[in-house]
Amino acid sequence: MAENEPRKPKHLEEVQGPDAPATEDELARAEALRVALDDASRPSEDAELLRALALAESPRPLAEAAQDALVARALTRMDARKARVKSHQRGVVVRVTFGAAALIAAAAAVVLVVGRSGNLDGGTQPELAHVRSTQALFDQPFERGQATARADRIAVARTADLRQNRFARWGVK
Amino acid sequence: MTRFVKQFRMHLVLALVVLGLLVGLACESRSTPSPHDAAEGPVLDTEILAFLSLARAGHHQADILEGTGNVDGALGSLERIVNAPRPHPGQTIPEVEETLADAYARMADLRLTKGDVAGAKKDVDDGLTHAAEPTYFRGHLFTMYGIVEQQRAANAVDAGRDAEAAEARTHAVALLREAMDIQERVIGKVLGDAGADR
Repeated sequence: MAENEPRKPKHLEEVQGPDAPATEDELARAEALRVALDDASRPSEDAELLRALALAESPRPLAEAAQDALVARALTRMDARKARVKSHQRGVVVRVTFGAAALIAAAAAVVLVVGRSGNLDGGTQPELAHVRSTQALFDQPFERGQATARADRIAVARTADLRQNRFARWGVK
Repeated sequence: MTRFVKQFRMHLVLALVVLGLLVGLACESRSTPSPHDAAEGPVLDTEILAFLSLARAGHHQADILEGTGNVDGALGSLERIVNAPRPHPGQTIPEVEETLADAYARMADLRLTKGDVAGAKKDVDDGLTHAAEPTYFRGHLFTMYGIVEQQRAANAVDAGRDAEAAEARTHAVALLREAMDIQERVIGKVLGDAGADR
C-alpha cells in the first residue's frame, strides 16, 4: 500500500463477503475454472455446471453419430423390456390358468359334496314321512255312505304326518 | 393371437369341460332317487295335504246337499274334487289316487240314486283308473260296479228285456265275486301288516 494512499477506515479493513478482496485461494480456483472451461477434457464440476447452463440456454444439435448411438441403445433397451414383459405375461397366464382351474375344482368339489349330502352342514337327512297308500288306515272293507269318514281319516292322518315332517326339519324330536 | 392366449383358452376350455362333467355327476347323484326314495315316493308336503283337505271339504259339502235331497249339488261337490288340480303333476301320489277313486265311487253311488246307470258305470270306470292295486278302494269300486250292473238288470227287467237282464245279473255276480276276492286279499295283507300305519 502506497504511503500517500488514504488509509481505509478501521471497520473497512475487516470487511468479509462479496465486497472483500479476493484471496489467493479464490484467485487460484478462478484460474482453474477458466482453464477447465477452455479445455473440456479437464475434470471440473463447476465447469460442467456452467456448460450445462449454457447448453440449456442455447443447445447445440446432436452429432449424427451420437444420435444414432442413442437411438440404437434405446431400441436395445426396449427389446429387452419387451422380452421381460412377455416372460412376465407368460407367468401370469400360467398362474391365472392354474388359479382358475383350482377355483373350478374347489367349486366342483362343493357341488359334489352338496349333491351327495343334500346340505352343507353334512348332517343326515331327518326321517320324513313319504307319500304312501292310505290302505293301512282302514281295517275293514268300505261301506257305502262312509266316504266322508274315510276322507276325514285320511286328511287327519296325513296332517299329523306333515306336522311331524316340519318338526323333523326343524330338528324338534 | 399369441401362443399364450391360445394356451390359456385351451386350459380354460378343458377346465370348463371337467367342471361340466363334475356338475353333471353331482346333479345325477342328487336327482337319481335312491331305492329308499323309489319305494316310498316323494315326501309328504303341503301341496298334497291341500288336495286331501279339499277332498274332505268336498265330501262334507256333498253330505249336506245330499241330506237336503240336492243330489246334483252333491255330485257337483264331488266333481270339484275329481277336477281339482293334482299335486305334483306327473307323479303318482297314492293318497291322491285313492282319494280320487273313492270320490268316483261315491259319484257312481249318487248317480244310481238318480237312475243314471250309464253315468254311474262311467264313474266306476274312471275310478278304477286310480285304483290299479288290490286295495279296499279297488274292492269298493268293484262292489259299486256290481251294484251298477244289478241296477241295470233291474231296469232291463222293468223294460221287459229279459236277455239283457240275465246278462247284467251274471256280470253283476262276477263283479261282486271279484270285489270279495279283492277284499279278502286286502284283509289278509292288513292282518299281516298288523296295522303298522295306525
